[in-house]
Parts: sequence; C-alpha cells; structure tokens
Amino acid sequence: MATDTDGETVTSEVAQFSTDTSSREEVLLWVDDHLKWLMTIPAVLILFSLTFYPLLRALQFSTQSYLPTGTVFVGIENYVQLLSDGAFINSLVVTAKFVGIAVTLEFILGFAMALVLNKKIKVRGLWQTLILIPMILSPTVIGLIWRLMYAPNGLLDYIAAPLTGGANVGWISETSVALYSVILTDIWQWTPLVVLVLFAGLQSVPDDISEAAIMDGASRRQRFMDITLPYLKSLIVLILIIRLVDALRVFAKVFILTRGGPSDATNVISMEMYRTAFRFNNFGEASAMAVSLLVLVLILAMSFVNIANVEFGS
Amino acid sequence: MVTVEYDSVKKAYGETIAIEDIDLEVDDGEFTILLGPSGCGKTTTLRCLAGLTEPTSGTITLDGHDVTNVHPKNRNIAMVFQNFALYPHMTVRENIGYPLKVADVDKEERENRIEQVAETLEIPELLDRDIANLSGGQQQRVALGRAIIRRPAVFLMDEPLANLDAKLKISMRSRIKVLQREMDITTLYVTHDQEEAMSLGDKLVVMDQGNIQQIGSPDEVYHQPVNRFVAGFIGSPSMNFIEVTHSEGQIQAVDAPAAFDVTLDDAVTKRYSGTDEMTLGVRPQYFTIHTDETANAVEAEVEVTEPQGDEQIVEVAAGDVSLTIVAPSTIDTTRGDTVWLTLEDELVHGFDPDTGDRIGDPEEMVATTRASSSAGSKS
Repeated sequence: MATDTDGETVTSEVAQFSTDTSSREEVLLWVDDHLKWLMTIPAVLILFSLTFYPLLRALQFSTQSYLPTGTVFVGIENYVQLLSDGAFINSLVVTAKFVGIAVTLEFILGFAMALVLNKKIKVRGLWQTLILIPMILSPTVIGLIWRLMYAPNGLLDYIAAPLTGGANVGWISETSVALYSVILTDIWQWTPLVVLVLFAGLQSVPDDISEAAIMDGASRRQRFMDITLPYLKSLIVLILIIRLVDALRVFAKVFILTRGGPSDATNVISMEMYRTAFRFNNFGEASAMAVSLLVLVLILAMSFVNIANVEFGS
Repeated sequence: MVTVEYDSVKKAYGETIAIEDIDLEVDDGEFTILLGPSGCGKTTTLRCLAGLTEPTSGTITLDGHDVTNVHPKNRNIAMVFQNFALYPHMTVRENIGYPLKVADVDKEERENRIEQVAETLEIPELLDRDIANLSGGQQQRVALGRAIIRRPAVFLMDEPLANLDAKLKISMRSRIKVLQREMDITTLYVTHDQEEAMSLGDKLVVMDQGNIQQIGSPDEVYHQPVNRFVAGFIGSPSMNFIEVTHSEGQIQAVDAPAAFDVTLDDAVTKRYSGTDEMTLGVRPQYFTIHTDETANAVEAEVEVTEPQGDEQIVEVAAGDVSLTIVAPSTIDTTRGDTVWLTLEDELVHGFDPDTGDRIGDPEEMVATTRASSSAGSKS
C-alpha cells in the first residue's frame, strides 16, 4: 500500500512539474531533441528542389508535347522520335568519341604523372600545386581562355606554325579538328583530378609490400602489374566512373568554345538537349534526351563497377 | 657456401647517423642475431645487406663479391618483414609462389615447390585461403614460406616475431631455429628481445647508437659483457650496477658504505687490483638471500616481492642502494623484512665508472665462468 501511495505521489509531482513548465521551455526541449534533423532541413530542401524536383519534372515533360495551344500528353512518343532524330544520333556519336578519347587519355596521362610525382622528385610540392590549377578554374573561364588560344592567329596557331607553315589550323572552326580541340581542353582541365586521386593511391601502397616484392625478385614492371595495379584497383574504378559520368554531361566548355559547331562536329548530347529545348522550344524531346542520358550514365557506371570486379577477381 | 662481410659500413640521413661504422663477418650457415634497443641501427644494418638501403660509405660482400651497388633482386637474399608484408590481394598459394612466378619458374615446378613449402610449414590446408582471413601466426608462416621457397643464399628477418602473442612467439621461435638448421642458410635476424636473441642465435651482435658493442656467442655476451651497456641490456631482470670503492678485495658501495661492505675472494680480487673505484655489476640471479644474519653479506631491507611461480623477484634497499634479486620462491620474505645478501664472487663484473668498459681480464673470466658452470652442472 505504502508503495502505491508513494507511486501516486511521484506521478502527481511529475504532472505538477510538467504543468509548471512553460510552453517556451517545452519548445526548446523539443528542438534540442530533434536538432540533428532540423539541421538537415536546409540541405534536404536544396537537394530536393535542385535535384529531385527537376528530375521528376523532366520525366513529366518527356511525356508531353508542347503546342502553342498548350501541353498534350503523348506517352513515349518523344522517346520514339529520338530514335529517328539524326541530330540526336549524331550527338550520341560525338559524345561517345569525346568521352572515349578524353577519358582514356586523361587516365593514361594522369596515371603517368602520378607515377612521376610518386618518385622522389625535387620540389614535389610545387608540381602538385601547379598541376592542380586547371582543376580549380571554372569551366567557363577555361572555355574563354582556350577560345582565345584557339582563335585564328592565336597562341596555338603561333606554336604550331613550324608544322603548319604559318597557315591557321582553325582549331575550333575546322570540322575535322574542332572535336579534338575540345577534347584537348577537357584533358587539360581534368587530368589533374586523375593525378590527384591516383597519386594519393600510390602513396598509400605500404612501403614494406613494395620492398617485399623487390626482395622476391620482381622487376619494376612486375611490381607495377602485380602489386601497384591491384592495390589501386578500386581507386582506378572510382576515378574512371567519375570522369566517365562527368564527361558524358560536358556542356559549358562546348558551349563557350564551339556551340556544338562547326556543322554539329562538337554537338554533344547536352548541347543538343539545350538546342532542342531553348532554340526549338521542344521541351518534350529535350526532356526525353535528358532522361535517356541519365539512364545511359547509370547503366554505364553500374556495368563498369561489375566488369571491374569480375576482371580483378577480388 | 655463403659468407657475409660488412666493411666499415656507414649510413647517415643528413646529419642523423643511423649506423656509424659496422664491421661484421657472418660465416656460412651461421645464425646471427642483431640485437639492440630501438634506434640502435640494427634494422638499417640489415637493410643495407638487403639492398633496400644504400650505405653512405663502406662495402658489403657476399662470398667475397662486392654487392654494395648490386640491385636487391640480384643478390639472392630473402627477407621476412616485421609486418609480414604479404600481398593482400593474393591467396596464400600465390603469395608463397610469387618469388618463383617472377623468376619464370614453370607452373608445374612452382606448384610442387609450393606444396613442399606448405608441408614444411604445416599449412597445406591454408593454401587457397585469402590473406585477410589468416591469424597472425598463420600469416607469419606464409611470410616464411615466401622467403624459403626460393632457397636463397642469405635469409634476413626483421623482428619477425614482434607482432605475435607471447605463446605463439615461443613456438614460432623454435620452428625458425629448426628451419634454419635444416636449410643451413646463412641468416641475419634482427630483434630487440634479448631472450629471443639468446635462444636463437649462434652469434649475437649487440648494437647501440649505430655501433656494434660486442660480437660473441650468447654465452659470451651474457657472461663476459665488454661494457656496461651490454651487461645491462642482456639478461632479465637487468644487472644491478653499484658504484663502489675497492681496496685489497674490500668493496664498499659509495652510497651505502655501512650496509654494502663485502670482501671478495682472492681470485676475484686479483682481477681488480689497481682499481680504486669502479661500477660493480651483479646479475639478480647471483645474489643469494639469507633470512638470518650471515657473514660477509650485504644487509638490506625488502621493499617489494614479485612472485613468478618457481622464483620471485625481490627488490631490496641496502642503505641508498636499490638492488633487484631473483630468489627461489621458497624463501619467505615480505616488505619490511631485513635480509642478508651474499655475492657469487666469481660472477661479478667490474666496469670503469667513466667509460663503462669492463675491467679485468676476459680470458680469466671465461675460465672462471666455465669452471663454475661445469661445477654447477655436476652438483
């Protein structure tokens, strides 16, 4: 009985206590408890409005046709249209070339430079800093700088003069050259990222493992193939995916350098998307392209991870 | 037949000297231990032979051939690293077989040798396991396997047991010793563990501050340390050092002349004739504790006792002098008791208080040591 009475007393005290608490304190307590969630709200809102919402809208747009009289639901017609759209097919080919050449060269060059940096070279810190500069510039600035260099009688024409006999190459105005010029700019901008990531990876290969391989009699090439490469496997996959996805979406550089020209020679998918949407006001088809690109990127990235795993057999 | 010779080998990193002047000869098939505290240069000495570190000056020869500038992979030396340094992305089989793979040994031969090595090390069931799934002891065996599969000319081991637990350490220790004897390969082994060194080596090379302090058999470095450093480093618990004055066989501790005042026997007295002051070195095992008053003994008070099973470590204070003593566990003393300590005269050491060098003729020491140990074994 005594316990019951005590229990009641306690309960009533608690009740008393909570009624005494002002509503302001209650709010503060609640905020304190939920602070971690509250703190994420701005980020979630921004992420949602900038990523998920446009994505959902794009999906919606891609099923609509835009007529002067209003929008009409057309199902998958925009997607079907894409298959017979010569400009789109061309943009796929251009993008594939761009991505294939740029990413391959960035990877090879970047790996080579990372290996050089990993040696005990003089003033390594200075080289590291210099190498990073292209990466920290905005694509627009890079586009503008390179457009100046590519201009007729510009810096690159001057440098190439001994080979060309003084004639202008037409870096970004010649159909057969323009895409490679854009690729060159991309390589200049993004090789540093590859260097950075792979250099960090090389630094993480434990000294004693390399030394064990030396003692086991492995040549430089064998050590690279048997020790270094497997060690860097996951980083290599990572950097290739990052570059692949990013290169597939290239826009600013192309927009500033060539606007997709001359005669669609550099018309990458996102450029074609932009034109379809904002020049031809065909938001439906442009959105269908955007969604297709998204699916393509996802498939590529996922299959890449799978292939890499199978190949390295971990 | 592979002998190793270091001739005035020095390695400096800028101002920092890792090893100052190493002269060392290792005979064919000999198991040599480089022993010393951290930073004494023992690993650098080993790495110079491996070729992983280039000496600043001096030459290293293998069987009379100067290999100082020969690439490590052309020296036919195998090495076991402290952290095992196994290739994490390879299986046990691939790890052990790697030296043969890079040497282009054909697959069948390779498989045979891998199986043989695995049998020797009793790990055939592990061959297809991943390295990540092995225990420390198993990894250690794989590392050994990778080193022996090539049948190298010289075997280097850099603290190979340091990462194992105490029990495993002892079983691996005997395995390494058996392996080395069976393969009869010249071996250099680095450790900071003097017990490990004593139990494994044919020859101990005691190092400190980039220099060799003493080269000798485990017996020699234990019983005839050339200086105070070696005397203090070898043996557990460490040797007691007491600053004493000496006159005609009578020695008195400087810090406790009343309590520590003993007469040495004649043979030992002769060893120290002409020395007025010295540092007396007595191993904890060479004091005998008496609980009753004893003649020619050091009177001391027990500070603490640490039972160790069969024996106990007793810390005592004789005046201002602290001493560590190893006594049989049958002696019943406790903190605060007064005890009397007698010295085994012939087993004490004298060192110069300034230079730390040993005083007394080593030759004579050997004789007395041998005599006393054989006498001991007969009794």
